[in-house]
Amino acid sequence: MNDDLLLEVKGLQTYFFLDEGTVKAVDGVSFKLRRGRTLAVVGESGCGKSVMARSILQLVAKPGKILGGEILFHRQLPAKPGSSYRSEVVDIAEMAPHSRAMRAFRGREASMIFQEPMASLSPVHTIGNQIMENFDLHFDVSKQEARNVTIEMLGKVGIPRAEQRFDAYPHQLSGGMRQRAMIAMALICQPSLLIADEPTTALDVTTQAQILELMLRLQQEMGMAIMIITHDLGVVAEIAEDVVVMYLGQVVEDAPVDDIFHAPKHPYTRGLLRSIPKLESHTRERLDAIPGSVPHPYNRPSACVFHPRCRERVEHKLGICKIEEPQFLPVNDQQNVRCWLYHDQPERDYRAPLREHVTPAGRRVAAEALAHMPHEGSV
Amino acid sequence: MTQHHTAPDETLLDVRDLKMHFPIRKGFFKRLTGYVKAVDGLNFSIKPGETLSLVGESGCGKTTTGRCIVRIYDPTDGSMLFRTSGNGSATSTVDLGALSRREFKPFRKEIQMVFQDPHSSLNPRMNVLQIVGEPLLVNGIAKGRELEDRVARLLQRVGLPPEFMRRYPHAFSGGQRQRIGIARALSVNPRLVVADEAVSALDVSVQAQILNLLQDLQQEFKLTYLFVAHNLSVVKYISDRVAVMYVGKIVELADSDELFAHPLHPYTEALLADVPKPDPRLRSKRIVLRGEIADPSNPPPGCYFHPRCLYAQENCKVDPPPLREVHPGHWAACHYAEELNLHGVALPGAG
Repeated sequence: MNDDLLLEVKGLQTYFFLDEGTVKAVDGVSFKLRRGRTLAVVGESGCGKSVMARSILQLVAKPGKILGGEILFHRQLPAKPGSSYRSEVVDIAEMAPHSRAMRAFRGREASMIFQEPMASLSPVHTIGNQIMENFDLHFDVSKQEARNVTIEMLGKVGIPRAEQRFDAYPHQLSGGMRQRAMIAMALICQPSLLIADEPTTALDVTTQAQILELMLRLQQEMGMAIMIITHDLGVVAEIAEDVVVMYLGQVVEDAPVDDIFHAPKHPYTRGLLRSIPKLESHTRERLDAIPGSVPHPYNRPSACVFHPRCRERVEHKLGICKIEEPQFLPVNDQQNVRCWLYHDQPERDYRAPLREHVTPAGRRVAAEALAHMPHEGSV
Repeated sequence: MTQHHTAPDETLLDVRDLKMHFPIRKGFFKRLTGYVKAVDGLNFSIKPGETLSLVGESGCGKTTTGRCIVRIYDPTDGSMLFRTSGNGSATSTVDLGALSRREFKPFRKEIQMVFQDPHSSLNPRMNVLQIVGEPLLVNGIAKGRELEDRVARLLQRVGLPPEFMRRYPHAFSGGQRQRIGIARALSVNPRLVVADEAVSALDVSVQAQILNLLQDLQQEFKLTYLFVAHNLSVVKYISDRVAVMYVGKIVELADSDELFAHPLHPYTEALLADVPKPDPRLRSKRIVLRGEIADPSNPPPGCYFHPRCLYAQENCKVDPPPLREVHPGHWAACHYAEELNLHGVALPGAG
């Protein structure tokens, strides 16, 4: 059944231990990514999405540390004669960051592209050599062969005159071309997972459209799964199949992309959707902003981390949000949400909220709201 | 290039044939080898109380234009006629570009700028009182107790508690810093505010707050904005009119609703189509614009956009199209503006 599962993250915790205190950058994140699919991780800055992505490749720098949880990678093994698929499961979280196994994994089976291509490429090496290095490390091939593969890859990512560009330095390329070179570097070993951390944020809309199209085309050709980290819901709608919404180190909602945009459940997801400027708006319309801002990691709110900014908590007069943390539970087959609004459907095995904390009027409002929710109860 | 003649009392700023060419020098003797024509013959005007947005890809000269107006750069050529406030009816215009640094000083009060990156545009060694109060102090408007009162009022107006006055920038989040930057710009009661990508570096939820704040402040203080941005959906929220720039020139200029609904230049159409729509059901209805923005030191002949244009004809490769008024108030620089049936963005309720 789980044959198509590629990555399974369970209760991942990555904390930063600083003199001023502990920052819980990633605090119990769980999600699944299937082979060849595209998963978007959305959230505002400081929600831990980048640290989470780096944790998967064990790239978290000190004083950060993966404290707990599992990162299960389902590795496909070459089929033996007689049997079909074989796969083994490795827990990345248990590997040491500098171990041989980790280095064999990083860049080969999973690789990453970053937001700022200029900052992540070396300015003193040609892009060809930088791309080739990754291939050289993982495969035992001659220089000439590696060079040929690199040139082929440069052509694949749409860099014109690949042979000449092999010897170009990053500063000689435009932002879009640099990002293409980054993608070539990440994909040259044909990994089964590509992690893209804000790959288009530093680019113009026209270049962004080109890069997104390129990523989708390469995914069709090479079949890798993509995990894209972004704050831009437009990019999510454009590329993702599944979406994970993060807030302050926690997953608050996960669902297929259509449900995120057309039946969002968590108040934060809904707030985000309301606050994005849309082209199809009237001029000088007011935007419906989420009040407040993402709290500083040292002053993490207690109980539900979103409660100080949550309008729906006030509207539904829920008292519990300040007192106890909601669980991450399913609302239907495909959608999970971490919010008290959805926790007391009687037919499901939810942990009921502590009734004495919620006013009777508030409970009635919440129940009514739940009844009017679209897709509710469609199991 | 043709330009409509508006009576001087209708415009706050009238930019005519503005040029900003940066010399390229090479080698040991710094020999002049060419010019980057960052801004190459811009014409536009801004009416009091309106918001004009400049949009385009990076490298199109939109930021340079803004910086010429606040005289961070001294423009190479052209004029920027600014209507002085004067007392009562005695208004006159001055050419901001022709003034010396000293002569320009009184106008710095009237033209203020809000910068993109709230992290690098505030001095980390100054507290909020010093940052916001500096323009007041320098211009001799207020000092001491009065200065503090005014800063407190400004902070309150932009949505920051006045108690934060003694704190330093590092203690604030990105959105709060941008509020400080706005308070600083507003401290001297400017008439024109040049906002250079003022919300680009902010998170979505905070960006919405700052956009709303800018709109509120505009109404309250009768501000005029020149809004420089690359994000078309943000521009839609704030602008009365929009100018689309490509390689140092305006290629289309129109009222915001008109430009978004009925673009007349293929570049505008492509820009609109490339904005990712926040709805997975609308996926892949886009024109992905091939290639990259032309090099402003060596632009292609004819229409600068022709190598990337889906509709380019033979004459586009040789004839540079002038910016002309295709419909009243709607300017476009395309030979085929009337013939092309370009796709804009549907307004809600319009089908």
